[in-house]
Amino acid sequence: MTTSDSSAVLTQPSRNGKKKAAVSVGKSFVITSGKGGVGKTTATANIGSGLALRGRKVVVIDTDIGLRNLDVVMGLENRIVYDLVDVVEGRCKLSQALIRDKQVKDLCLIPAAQTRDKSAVTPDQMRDLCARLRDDFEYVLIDCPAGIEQGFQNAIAAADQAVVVTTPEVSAIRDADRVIGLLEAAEIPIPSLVINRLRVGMVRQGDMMDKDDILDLLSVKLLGMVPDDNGIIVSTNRGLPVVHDSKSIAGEAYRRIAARIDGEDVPFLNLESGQGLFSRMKRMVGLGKGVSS
Amino acid sequence: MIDLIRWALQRQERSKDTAHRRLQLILVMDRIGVSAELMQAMKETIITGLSAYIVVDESSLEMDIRREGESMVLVSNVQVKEVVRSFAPTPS
Repeated sequence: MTTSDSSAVLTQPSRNGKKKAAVSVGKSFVITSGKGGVGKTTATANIGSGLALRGRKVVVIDTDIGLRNLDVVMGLENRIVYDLVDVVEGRCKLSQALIRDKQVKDLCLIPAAQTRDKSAVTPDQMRDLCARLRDDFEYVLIDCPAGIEQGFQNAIAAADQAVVVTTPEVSAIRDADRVIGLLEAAEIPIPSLVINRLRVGMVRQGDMMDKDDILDLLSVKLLGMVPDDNGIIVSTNRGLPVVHDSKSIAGEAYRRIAARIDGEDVPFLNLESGQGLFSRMKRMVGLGKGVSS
Repeated sequence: MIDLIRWALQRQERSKDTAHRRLQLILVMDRIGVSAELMQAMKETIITGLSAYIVVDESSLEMDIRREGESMVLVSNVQVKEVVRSFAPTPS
């Protein structure tokens, strides 16, 4: 959206005359949850794509060695030649393992190895790798595997900030709280929370915890709420993150999350309105303020 | 309105409140390693202690331990049925 503006602010001519980022050190974020299946990988793909759509230089790293998935969510599975383990073991150059995104420029993926396990990478290797990536990218997003074992330790090692993804369920929130405690122990600042798969109807009926219930339980700051949206499944089927879909409400939620990470103060999505057929129709013809309120 | 009818018909706690209440206890146990038995024993001690002065509804007792900044706080809520009249304070 603001590609030209933001690059104008962020770039300055360097010695060799080429444009280089004025902020020489990029920010690294780990996207984690504890529990599996809450939408970490989907969140990573969408936040990464959302930041790149804003004109940022972004790299997303899949650290789920043995169970890689970020490549398929982004539709890049056919482009993989080298992976994370190849880079850290020196079998290829870093630039060779960077897969360019199909949809948006300045977005790259480093895929996980599929035939190895979590012990194939150490926290020190992750720190080294991210230190190199920070020179070239404004945002380094690390997709963490489920669990709190070695894969988790690898993923958080190089992160200076954390995004915790949860769903409004007892088990996901319990695991999120465990992870928040571990991030605190690793001296990562207070994490940002993404509440995924909110179902407005159930919240209204008192059958699903809302953001206030969850924020009351967890010591975090709210980064965003993503409504449950069938479009996520469709977008994953196609390998095209939902953030690219301008009509999707989940896509809008991720665009706002990316904006907040990028330092812009945008209001939270109003999930209460805009759910009925009438307001959906109004929104479609651009009359409603359901999404934009 | 629908919520009101549901409430009138069921008079049952909303499931999200059950989830929230259970999580409050679960997270406390996870965070500070207090077992459910110990929490129960603490509840019983509180009720026994209070019973010398007031009649309380034992089933209404709620207990929550949470972090508030640097310190842990214990918040307990209990419904008072009546004040024991026979209690005579010792003159100071």
